[in-house]
Amino acid sequence: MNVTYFPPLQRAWERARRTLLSPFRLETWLVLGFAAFLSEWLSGGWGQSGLHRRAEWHGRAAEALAIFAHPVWGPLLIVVAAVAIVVALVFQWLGARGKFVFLDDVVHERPAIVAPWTAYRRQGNSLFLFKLAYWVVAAIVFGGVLLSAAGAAVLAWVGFHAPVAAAPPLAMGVSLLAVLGLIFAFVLLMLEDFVVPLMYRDGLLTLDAWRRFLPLLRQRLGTFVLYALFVLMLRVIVGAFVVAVGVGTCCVGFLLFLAPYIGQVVLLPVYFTFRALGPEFLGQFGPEFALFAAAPPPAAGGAPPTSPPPPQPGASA
Amino acid sequence: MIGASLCALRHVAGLACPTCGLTRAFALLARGAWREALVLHPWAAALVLQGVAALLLCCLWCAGRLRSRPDRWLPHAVGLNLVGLVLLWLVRLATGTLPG
Repeated sequence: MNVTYFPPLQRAWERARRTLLSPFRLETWLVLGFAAFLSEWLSGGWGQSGLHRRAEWHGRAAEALAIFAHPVWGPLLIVVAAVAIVVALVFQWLGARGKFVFLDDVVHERPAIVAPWTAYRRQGNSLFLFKLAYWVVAAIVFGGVLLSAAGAAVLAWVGFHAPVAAAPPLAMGVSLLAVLGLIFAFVLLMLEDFVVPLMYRDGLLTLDAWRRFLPLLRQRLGTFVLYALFVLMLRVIVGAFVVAVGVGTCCVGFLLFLAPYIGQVVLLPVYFTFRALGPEFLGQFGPEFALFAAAPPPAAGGAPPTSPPPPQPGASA
Repeated sequence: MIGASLCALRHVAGLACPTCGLTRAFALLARGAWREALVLHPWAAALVLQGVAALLLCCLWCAGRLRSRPDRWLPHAVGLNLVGLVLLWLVRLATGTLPG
């Protein structure tokens, strides 16, 4: 099977151009921008804001630990931390539900919020629970590696009475964390780009969609790793464009691109193309993976299909 | 200029960026000093004219006097403004008339 990378990108871009510019309607951009905001920004997808938010919280958590013993600041911090966790969970839940709203809009090339929000409730909630479990496992694994490396470094330092002895375990820990980070990011990309479209297409829950996708991933691992590199390259190009526009507009462009919702509206063609790219790429592996050829009808408040739709003649790459 | 410049291009390359001076030119236009505004950044006047035209078109469309929706021209307007700004910047760069 000949798998290509640029033709799916061309088809995804053509879909974005058709929906957003033929003809241009401001309300289409505003509604689809909101769907992209739900899908990408709130869940901290590939939008930078979510990544910043998480990094910021990690830093603040470390600072907070030191002053937890304070009689006033301690309890206050606990309350603030609890509120922050609840807000983060709500954002993640909205983001998981929003994934299906935006995907439904991309598939049917029309702006809609309420109908897909209701219709893909089961899938959205399932994705939220999966991602929650995923982050917990990631935190345990990363924390475990970090603590092991730090412990080994301290033991080596004390045992050999030389700070340089701590370098090898620290280097090993950092290398292991980098490799684990890449693996976790790869799994997240597979989830967002391929598992979510399968859930949408066949009305599956997250684990069922993974069961359908994993045999293909095992069989064509190299192809999907290349896809991840391809997506990374595209994101670097988009990042360079954002920097160029930001620098060329007295940094006003940065404010536009990074502002919640406004950024998604301004960069909607990019978000739309990236949302369509994964399903377009997956469709090359046969009609059983083709989303656009066998998409469920537009959500109108009813439930999505619970069984795979019948294969359509000529529905392939 | 009041306060520190936020322009990254000015900090890095010592050059004013394509939009440097727009805010000050808008302020001069608001005070009626259109000659100074044109010298500082000619595109400010063009943007004000476009804004007024867009407002008029929207009013006409709302009143049913215009058949096609005015927002259909928005992507073209944004594209032309970007090209215009870059071309103007290149001309001012070549002639040494970028704002200080």
